[in-house]
Amino acid sequence: MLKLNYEVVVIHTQTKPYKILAGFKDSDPLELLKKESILFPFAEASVNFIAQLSKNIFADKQLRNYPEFISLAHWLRRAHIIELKNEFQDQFKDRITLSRGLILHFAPANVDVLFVYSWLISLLAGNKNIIRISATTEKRTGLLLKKIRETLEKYPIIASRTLIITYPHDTEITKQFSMMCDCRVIWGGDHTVQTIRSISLPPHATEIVFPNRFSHALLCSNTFLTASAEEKRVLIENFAKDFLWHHQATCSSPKNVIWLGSSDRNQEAQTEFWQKVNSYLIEKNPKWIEEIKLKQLTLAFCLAAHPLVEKFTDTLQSPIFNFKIKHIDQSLRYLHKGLGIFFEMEIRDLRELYAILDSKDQTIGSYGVSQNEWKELVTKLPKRAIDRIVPFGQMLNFSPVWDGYSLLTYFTRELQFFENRQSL
Amino acid sequence: MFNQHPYLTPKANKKKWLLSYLNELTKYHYKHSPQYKRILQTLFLFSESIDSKPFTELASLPYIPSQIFKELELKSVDNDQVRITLHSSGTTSKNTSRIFLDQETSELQKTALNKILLSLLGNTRYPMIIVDSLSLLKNRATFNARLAAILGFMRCGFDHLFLLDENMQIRTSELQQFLKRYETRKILIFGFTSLIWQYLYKSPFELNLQNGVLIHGGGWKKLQEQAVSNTKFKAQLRDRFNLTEIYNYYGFIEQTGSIFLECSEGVLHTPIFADIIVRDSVSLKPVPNKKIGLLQTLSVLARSYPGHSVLTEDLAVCEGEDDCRCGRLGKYFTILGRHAQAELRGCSDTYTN
Repeated sequence: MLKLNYEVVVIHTQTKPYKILAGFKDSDPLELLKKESILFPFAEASVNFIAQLSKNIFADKQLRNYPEFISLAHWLRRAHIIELKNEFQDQFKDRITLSRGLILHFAPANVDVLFVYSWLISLLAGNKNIIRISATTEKRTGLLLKKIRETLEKYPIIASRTLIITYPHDTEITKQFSMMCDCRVIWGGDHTVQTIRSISLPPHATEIVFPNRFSHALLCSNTFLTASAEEKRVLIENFAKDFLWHHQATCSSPKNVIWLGSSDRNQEAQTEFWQKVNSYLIEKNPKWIEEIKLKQLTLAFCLAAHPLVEKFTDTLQSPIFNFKIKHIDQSLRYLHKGLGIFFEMEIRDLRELYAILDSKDQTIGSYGVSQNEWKELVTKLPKRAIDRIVPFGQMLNFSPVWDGYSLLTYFTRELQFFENRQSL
Repeated sequence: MFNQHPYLTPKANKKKWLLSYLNELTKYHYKHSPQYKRILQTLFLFSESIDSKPFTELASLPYIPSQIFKELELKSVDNDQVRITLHSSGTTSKNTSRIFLDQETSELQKTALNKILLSLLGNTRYPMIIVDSLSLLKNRATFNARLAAILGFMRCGFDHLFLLDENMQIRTSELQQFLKRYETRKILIFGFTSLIWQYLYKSPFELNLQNGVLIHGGGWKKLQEQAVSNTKFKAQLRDRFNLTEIYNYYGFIEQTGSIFLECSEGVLHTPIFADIIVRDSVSLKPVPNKKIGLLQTLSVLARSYPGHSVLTEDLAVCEGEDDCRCGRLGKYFTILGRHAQAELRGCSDTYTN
């Protein structure tokens, strides 16, 4: 029996070293990984392991301090996994789905929990996984990895099919891992996607990529103005949840706020909304402002020099900065790094979104627009844009359908099977 | 501009003097740097008719964060007028500041620095040791903060000895000859704080530098990591080399020339060419003396680029004005280090880490 590793081990491939952060300790962990069989979708061991990891995170006092880990543990709890299983089985009823094999994940540097989602959905699909994460000195990522190692220790079936590693940017190592895999998943910026994409895969392998994206929040001014005080309080709290995490810097964090309504109503709503957001921040999270102030200021000066920026509607003293814009282009989307800054646009009719939305746009946090209105709109979008429309407060929630990919479908393959009355 | 002594103008006069230059510079950059103009129009609500209303308070003048020089190429002269491009220390990767100097600005900086240093050294030039390597001078492609500082300070000395060879080892025989040659004279020693500590203080050589005046700058970050404070730095160098006259200075490439030199009381002084405002790190409003805040620095020398009013990333305390025991007039202050900021990682760079 092989021994599980608790420490970080440096493994030398032919020439270049990489570090194993979790998985089996073996003289040749890649050979071991290759030898192991695949699992079936929603195998009992996978479900049990994930449910146990959820429990272990909840039980850890330190991990509980981080809201993103609470969210993760909540998502991984048994009841939710069973829900996913039932949905999956309904979808593929009477058909045979099998895992793809070995999946190679490149996790994003900015959202420290995302690699767990990527890995565990692939595990639920039955795959073996290699997950490359960025070298990090962040305490919380270390804590999470420790918890993962502890849980894997009790589940050798999963541990021998898992390798969480880190190595500095290196084409040779990436090539070696890529040539082993059946599917490659790249989370990261445009540059990362381009760089890794240029490295070959085996001819049969597939690839899923998650490049840079941009997200909007859309509010109906009238709905906001006529809402009760309690509804407004919840709305502001949810909005804050959407932008506070990761300093508003993720692809799904709202960066442009679109107001739907007449210009009078919009103006009225904006004044009240931002006044409430600012008060909320000052009261609930003054540290956030202090932590970002200088970077926010630098970004604001940068944006202020951009020709598409029309107007700055605050003073440099206010916690949140708003920039009015009439049009948005790729450079504005690219320049915006979060940090308590919002572009603001006004529309009178939802159909004006056709001219605004772009393939870079991922999520719309929506308030005051009905599902039917959205359905009507998105089926008439003139080009590829928008992969998620969610209520405020859920913009950063992870879902197994991401950027238009149904991950469980992409992580599995369907066996075509002739059912003949007689026999095959 | 240079008729006055750098430290003998009382505050009312200094304010008037600075306001006339800084109002003029704001207008000048507004007219000559399109990006600066857009920034002032957007963030400070400047209108086209900038001539109408000059500012009557230094704290009301618009400022820009020092980090903006990493993001935008701000200049108020045509490209063919740029004589020197300064890069913040380190490599020339995308994450460095770029400051564009024309002939005029470069001259202003040199003259101001000279004025400041000569007021300390009693209007005399001294034989000079530079605690750095000559090879730095040979590589002009990397015209960084360190090289700019050395070239500026060199004008205050003669018979310059670059103390270190290309391997950052002390050139002992040259040094012995130099010390022998100037046995009975005062000598000026200049270098970056961290280099002095690492290559001079930590070298095994027994040296007597009792005739020396040491001026050093470049920041305390590396020494703070080794728990070496300014006080400890001074005490250790005194014990090791009999070096008693030691002056730190605070300066940065965004405002080269108008440096803030430490006095015998251990505080940094604003010369006539420059001033400071300390601002609250959240509200950005000016705070009273003795309170900690972000340091904004003003300089009348920044002509080819809009860097005459810059909000730095450093925390400082203004200790007082016109009443330092050393006798210099002007505001005096201390630096408390970098303001801690969140580490920001956008949705990118998984592969560049």
